[in-house]
Amino acid sequence: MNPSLHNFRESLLQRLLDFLWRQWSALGVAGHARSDDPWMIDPEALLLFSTHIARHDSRLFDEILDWLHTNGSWINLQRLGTLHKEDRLGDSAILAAIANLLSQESAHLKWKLLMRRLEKPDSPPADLVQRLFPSIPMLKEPDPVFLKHGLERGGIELRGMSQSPRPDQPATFLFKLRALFGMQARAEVMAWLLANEQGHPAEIARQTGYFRGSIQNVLNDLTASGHIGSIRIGREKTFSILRHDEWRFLLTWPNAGAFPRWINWAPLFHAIQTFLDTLGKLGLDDKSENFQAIQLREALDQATPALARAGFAQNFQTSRELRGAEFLQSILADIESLTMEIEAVKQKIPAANPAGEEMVG
Amino acid sequence: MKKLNASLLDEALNLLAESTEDHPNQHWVVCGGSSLLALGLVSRTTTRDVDVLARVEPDGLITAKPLPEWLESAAEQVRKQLGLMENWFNTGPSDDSFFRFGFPEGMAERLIPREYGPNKNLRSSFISRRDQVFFKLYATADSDKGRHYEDLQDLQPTAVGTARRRPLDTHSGSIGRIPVCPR
Repeated sequence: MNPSLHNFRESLLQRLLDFLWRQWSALGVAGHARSDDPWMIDPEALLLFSTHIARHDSRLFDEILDWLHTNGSWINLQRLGTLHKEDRLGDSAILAAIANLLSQESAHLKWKLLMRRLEKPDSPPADLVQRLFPSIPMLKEPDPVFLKHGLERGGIELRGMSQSPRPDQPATFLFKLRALFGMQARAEVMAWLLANEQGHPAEIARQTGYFRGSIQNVLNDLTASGHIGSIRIGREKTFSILRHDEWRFLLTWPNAGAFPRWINWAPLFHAIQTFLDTLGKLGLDDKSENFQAIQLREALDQATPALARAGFAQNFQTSRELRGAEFLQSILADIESLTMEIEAVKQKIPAANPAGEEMVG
Repeated sequence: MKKLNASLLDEALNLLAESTEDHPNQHWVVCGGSSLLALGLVSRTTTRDVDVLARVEPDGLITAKPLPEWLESAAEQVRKQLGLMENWFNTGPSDDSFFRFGFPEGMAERLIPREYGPNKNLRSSFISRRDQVFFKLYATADSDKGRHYEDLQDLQPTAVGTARRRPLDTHSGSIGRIPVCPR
């Protein structure tokens, strides 16, 4: 039976919106219950992904703007730009409009640089203006800032209800480290090492969205503190946290087991977005199963490197040998299992990280 | 990798048409095994590929080489989807020599067109039995008794069926472009 790709996409979108509400609420957006997800949120990847998904929920979109209004200084704009470019994540026009809006406030002037990097030289012609929220009719005067970036939406009224990220939950662990180590790569490096205990610069760079050279420098500096050790294995130097268990004082929430899991969110979001874009192609539901399968096969080929980088490639069991309806059923099941994974991952976290073998500093 | 039978050939060309709906309509002249299969002219039941002989333009046939990139890419996607052989849709026979020396006289009038895709945006015109005889004879002359010879036997050529009025159409205007008579 030919599954309705449209219905599948709608249900996928709804699950992703629920997921985003939960993540943003954990960061301080008003309105939803506190998250007990066992991973740390990557705010840059989350914001980039939200520029795609939150277009389907104007209330969430505006709550994110509200949160940025209060907490925009916690966003590492250089890293945001790198993830946007390297992981091809996030809608440039929406990001530019958000940056433009924020940079009008003196507290967020640094967003102007991001806006300048993203914006196109000329305003888009009127016929290229698109609705920011496709399912909402325009009833009010369009917001001039978004309109300048080719996006039509009503006026913005922020509720001012957003809170700062609370440090007593796994989700905001990266914010805690940014508060301790500053808005720079060493916060991500420490977060990654605490979650994974040890790794080499190339791997940490891939996982954290920085260049290898920057990570190498940060690791060398951290080693001088005497709390990070290094050992050379072959040509690769591996770094680790010394006396890893002693860092558990950072786990300031009740019943803390392990350090929050580091997930390489940017490529994972990119892969999900690739499937969503394909499923959203106009008229796809009316095409033959073989044509639909071709489209999703192409999406799978495009998404596979990102899935591998994010460590989720094993979730895809679809055989390239399958054809037509069989391929469709299999790939849709895989996409579903991928999105369920960010629910089910809770059960996969070990109770506590055993103390790793200590290395020489 | 699967060979094409008549039904798979139909499915592959329909899928190719559906995959290229966003591009200009195409009209190809097809010869070889797929043409024989499509028209049910021979006893064999499969072929490796679709041999594209020429492209039909409003003012005549022109060489099919090179295929547009978007068509090559769509053919490759169809290949992966249906498990077909490499180069299943190729311009192997679209040789310059045909356009220099000419096709069998009247071939264009005898083409048998079929339309593919929900929007019928792909048209394949298969060469007729009579012209298959010419092409298979030409191919057999260059090879041992093999597939081409068997096909030729299956076609059961007769003097009446292939009697020629002139050797080959060599006066068809500019080289590389052979007029197609209106149907």
